[in-house]
Amino acid sequence: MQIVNHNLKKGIDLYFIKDGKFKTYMASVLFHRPLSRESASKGALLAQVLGRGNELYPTARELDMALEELYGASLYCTSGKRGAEQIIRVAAEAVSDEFLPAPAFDKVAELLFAAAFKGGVRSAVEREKKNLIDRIRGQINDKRVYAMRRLDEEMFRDEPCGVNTLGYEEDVERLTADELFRFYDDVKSSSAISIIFTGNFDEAMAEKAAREAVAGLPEREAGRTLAEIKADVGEVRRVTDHMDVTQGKLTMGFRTGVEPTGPLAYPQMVFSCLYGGGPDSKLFENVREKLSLCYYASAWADRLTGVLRVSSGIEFRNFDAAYNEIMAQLQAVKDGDFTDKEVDVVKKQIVNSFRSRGDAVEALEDYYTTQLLLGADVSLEEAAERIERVTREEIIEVANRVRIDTVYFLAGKEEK
Amino acid sequence: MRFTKHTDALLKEDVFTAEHKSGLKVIVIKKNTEKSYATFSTRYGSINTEFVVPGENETTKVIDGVAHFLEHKVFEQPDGTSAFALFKGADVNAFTSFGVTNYLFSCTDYFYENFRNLLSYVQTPYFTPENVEKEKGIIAQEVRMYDDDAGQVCFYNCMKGLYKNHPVRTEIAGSVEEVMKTTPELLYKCYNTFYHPSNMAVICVGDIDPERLGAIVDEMITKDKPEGEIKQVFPEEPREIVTPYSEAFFEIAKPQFMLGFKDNQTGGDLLKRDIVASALIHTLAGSSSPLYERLYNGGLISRGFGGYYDYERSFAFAAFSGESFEPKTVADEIKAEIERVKAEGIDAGAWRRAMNLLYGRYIRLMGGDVEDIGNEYMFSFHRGIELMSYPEVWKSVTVADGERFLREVLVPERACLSVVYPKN
Repeated sequence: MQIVNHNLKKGIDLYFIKDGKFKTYMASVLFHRPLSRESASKGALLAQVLGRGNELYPTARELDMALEELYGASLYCTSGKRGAEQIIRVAAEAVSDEFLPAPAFDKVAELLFAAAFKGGVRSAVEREKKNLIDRIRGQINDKRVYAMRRLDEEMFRDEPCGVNTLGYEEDVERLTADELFRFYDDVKSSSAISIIFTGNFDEAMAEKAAREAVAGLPEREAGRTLAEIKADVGEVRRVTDHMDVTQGKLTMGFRTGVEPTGPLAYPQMVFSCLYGGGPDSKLFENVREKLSLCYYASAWADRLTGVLRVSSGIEFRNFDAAYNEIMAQLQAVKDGDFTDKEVDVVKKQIVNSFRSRGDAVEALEDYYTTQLLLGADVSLEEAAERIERVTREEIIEVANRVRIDTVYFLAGKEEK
Repeated sequence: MRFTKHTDALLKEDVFTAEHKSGLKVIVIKKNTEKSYATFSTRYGSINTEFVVPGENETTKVIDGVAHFLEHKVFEQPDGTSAFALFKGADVNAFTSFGVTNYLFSCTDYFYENFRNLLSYVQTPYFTPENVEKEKGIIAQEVRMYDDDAGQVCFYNCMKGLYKNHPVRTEIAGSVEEVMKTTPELLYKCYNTFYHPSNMAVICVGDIDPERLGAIVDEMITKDKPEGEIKQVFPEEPREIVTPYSEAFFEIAKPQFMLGFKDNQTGGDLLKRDIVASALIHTLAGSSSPLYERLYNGGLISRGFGGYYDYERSFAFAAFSGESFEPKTVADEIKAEIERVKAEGIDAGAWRRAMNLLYGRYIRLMGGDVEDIGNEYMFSFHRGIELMSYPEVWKSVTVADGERFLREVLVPERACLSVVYPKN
């Protein structure tokens, strides 16, 4: 599997990740911008509005009827982030023509590009503002995710990667349709754009459709945005919120300072998997299995920000016990208190997860999106080989760089 | 073990099936993928709390949550280690639903070695007073996690409103009080009854050699004949519902609701009924329906609104769910739309589009992740459905079937609205 780049014009690239073994394909338009508090709300609202109609299908109902006709093709409009970069993504996923009673590719491509480049109707803006505000407020519903997001807000309080990609209620409230469409024009004319086709599709048809779609767009000088990697931490920040819940959520943020394309990038993956990646990890074995302190306790490193997060659901009264054990297990890895067999087990797990990505169009696109952002060109097979080569010493080195930054606890109403 | 090969003309793929002398069914769906997926599942879930053990005359009734407790404990090995440690380079897990318990792994290397370990550990129960006691703490935390989940509570309140006696009204993991009553004896009793190979299936998806897999089954499954029938007993369930409305209060931002309709028909051609129900529900409440457009533009629902049909062999229901600040108005609007369509008939264009959507959804499922394919095949298998007959059954479905389902099932007297409101 390979990614092939056809530069369409300055700042606009077309990528093919083609594999005939699939029965579907994913076609995506990605707008890349630096993430900021201001762009977050606009991006989130824009994504919702793009999903509600366009020049070709002016109402959401017409749009959805068209998708059904195309054998249940899906259209996804989202605004997300990778590190410090905001990505507004408009994507369509559909069944490949060879498995359909009638061909649909041209229509799917037409619909996708209309949604991405000729999208949005003014009449949808007010309704979507309300819906977006509901979604922002609704982030409280899933306590596990909520506790993770609160951790990020505290830890990254002065950094762009802490910006909430759904935006902020008061910012959304103030946005007008004029401002939103000015932002859209800016997104279309100044962002770096990637158009990515993944899966089983006809390359000539895809290229023709993509070229036509961007014919009217200007060239642009647009780069990509990488997060700043912080190695130093000041005093540990400790935050507790109280809510009427029956289970406490303990989340912890650490800085690793590991550069995403530096020599420790792959060792960091092995380290975090060994520490808290799954049922073979230190956290699962000790915090859950040995001490029965929780149903889940896991850790994962974010390559793009050089941060390690720990998440756990516990009884309120077990806060100290769980906290101490999580720190003790980190110390164990720092001290080299793990066997070669344990390392071998987690390496095989990571290799497995890299290879598995080759089976799903969305996972493939996702993998290469990060590679493109990092300016790297590492295939899944190469990534697996790099994992195999990670040494015990490198794992200990990563562990010893880990510094606790922020501790966040979601406690019950009555807890002290 | 001898496999029979069937080539699916639409998907252009082979499926191999065999039956081991113990009665174990073995199915391999061959795929050109990096990752392979294996499942070892038993037709035994949270709703099977009353049954007649083969060879006995009396009915055995057990507490709630045993199937789920077993799922946790089957991982424990006699030497005190966890079965997770047996696997190489694999994602290993298990889950319990209303109707099945499934042990699974997926991997890109070491498939056959891992498969042998899967068969081995699931067939090695080891329950002691100490290890059962230890598990209670972990499961209690799991139950409490669900207790904080407004969506779960909304769902089960709806089930409790629709069903008076059927155990679908009870949470899969049971309550903390019931979990605390679990004993090793009870676990062994249920294990010995439901984990006989003749009540189980091996379903695998991926680039797998059936002969090599079959040889491992022959080696690892030592039982050489099927056990007698396990009679599953369900309490008498009235046609009527328990209550048309229930509510709860949680720390959430926007009310969540579920409007469920009890379907009293159980058994029969379940796949056909699934397709009919899914198409009908989509024409009524899908994102291209007039109802959806009206509610959305009126600010009464958000994007997550939709309907679905769910069932096992002993129960079935249709449901509409989402978030709304006026859940009662939404429920009234849904019911009014149902009555309008009953009077005016189903729109032919909407029906055709819904059927197109279902067709594409099936291809996308079968062309997608090996785990999704394996799970869907496994659930279908234990419901007595051959999943790959989908396109054929799909062709046989007509709008008249939709009209019939509409009249039989979407009846206002058999609907329960469950709402979870924000606390303040």
